[in-house]
Amino acid sequence: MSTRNAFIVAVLLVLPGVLLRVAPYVERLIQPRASREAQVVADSSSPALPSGLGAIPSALSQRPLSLIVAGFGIEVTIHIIAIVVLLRSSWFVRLLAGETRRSEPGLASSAGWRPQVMMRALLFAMLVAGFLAGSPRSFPFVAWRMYSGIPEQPPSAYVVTGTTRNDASVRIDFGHILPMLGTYRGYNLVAVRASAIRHGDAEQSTSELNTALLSVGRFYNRQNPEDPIERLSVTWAAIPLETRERPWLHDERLVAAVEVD
Amino acid sequence: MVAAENDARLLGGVRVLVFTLWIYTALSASLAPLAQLPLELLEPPWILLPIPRPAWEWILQPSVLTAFQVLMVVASLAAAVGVRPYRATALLAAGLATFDQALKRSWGYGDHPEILLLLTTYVVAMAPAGDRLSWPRRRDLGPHPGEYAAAIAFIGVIACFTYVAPAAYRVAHHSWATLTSPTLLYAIVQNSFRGPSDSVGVFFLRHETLAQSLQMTVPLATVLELASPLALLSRPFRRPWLLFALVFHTLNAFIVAVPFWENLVIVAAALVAIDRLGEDASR
Repeated sequence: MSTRNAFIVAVLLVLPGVLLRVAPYVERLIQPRASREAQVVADSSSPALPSGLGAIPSALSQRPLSLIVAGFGIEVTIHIIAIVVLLRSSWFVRLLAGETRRSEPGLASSAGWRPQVMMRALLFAMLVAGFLAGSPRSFPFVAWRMYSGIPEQPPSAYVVTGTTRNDASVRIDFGHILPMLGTYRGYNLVAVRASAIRHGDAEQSTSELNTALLSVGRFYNRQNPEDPIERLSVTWAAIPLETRERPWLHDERLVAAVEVD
Repeated sequence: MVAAENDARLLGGVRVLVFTLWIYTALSASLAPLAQLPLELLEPPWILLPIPRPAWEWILQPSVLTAFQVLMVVASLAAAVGVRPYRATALLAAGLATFDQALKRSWGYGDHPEILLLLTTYVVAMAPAGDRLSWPRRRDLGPHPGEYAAAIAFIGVIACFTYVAPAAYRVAHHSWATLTSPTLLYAIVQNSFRGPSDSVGVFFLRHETLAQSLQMTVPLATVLELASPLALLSRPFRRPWLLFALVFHTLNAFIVAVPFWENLVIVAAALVAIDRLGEDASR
């Protein structure tokens, strides 16, 4: 495929993702400036969306809009380049189009491949749309962002600790307590709600967090009836990267605690 | 004909692998305890939004969840074996796998480990992957012999782009931080202290030099992630890249506590299969 054609195909494949990503900004850009500034003030005072919940908000970070746009432009360009590199290879395009065996004697031509190719192109466009504009709610077409950037705050953790009937202190192993969810999905059952409270959404999230903690406590007690948990608490703690000796957890704060029946 | 036969066998092998992984996933933990999670915290991904709220009360019963799990194992087994009608069986198994994974992401958090496996399942279900290595044995190949190699190549494409995407985001939005900040140490410490054992995080906090050395691998890993499409095109590059993927995933699992073994299995299967496609289809 020529570079020009490969570029056109690549642009068409990333276009849905670009449109989905840009859409939340369009409304802001067409608003009058005064109204936009009022919106920014309203956004900055509203509770932050807990990580892992909801759609990607229209304001993703504290960076200026120009930097976000430039970064997004580079991100899209990299995707386009990667697609063009693949499509410039004629043998790989023939492979993807199902045309590599056309000349074999005794076999039909590949005239019927188009629906399959179109389905694969659609699946790929949805995949890229997820990369560029996805959120956890758009599963399985989600954004893949790993080890990118570093927040201004130090690493932190929500430590979920139970006090048992025999007065023992146990730290909850979510992978063990909730194996059907797994360690991270189990941990975030509590953490996303605790995070929402820390970021100001106390009203709804406190109730949700208490419900989540109670549920976790009951799961623990079903697995450990000999010494069940009577009280379960979640604390937030920072772990500054400069720390070299104990204590590792700093600035610990109780977020919530429940009595487990 | 020999080349198409070879391709059909390779695609059949990928099919067996993919659906065996789903059987393993389904059997690894009982779904029935999900019934004890609070319904009011349920926040399903959009793909499950058509399910009305009252229906969730029925779905989230131990007996229904267990029946679903049994059905998923049976459908995945049938698709792995390749019984007729293959496409219907495979699409059913793919649908059940989608529901299983979406359900597990319905209580507030969605992560990535099984996503590539799921997308690969869609490709395998849509392709004529039941023509070989299946029971009962098929005599003839399908009418479009290029489809076997095409499906394998496409699995390779989506697998490689799951490496391109995070690297592209890193470069585009946080390249300076990647070069100058301890992004990897941050992830190691953050993930380590979330679990019951914080030993890895503590180790790297105590050994600053080692942590800094590890950080130097991040730009290299980013470049290799961006270069992943070249592993599809170039046979000499393919095996070194696979070695990188193996090291990358092993370090991720043991140091950063992010086990993405499903991704590793799928990308390895796709690249090895591309390597073994019939002579005129491989490079």
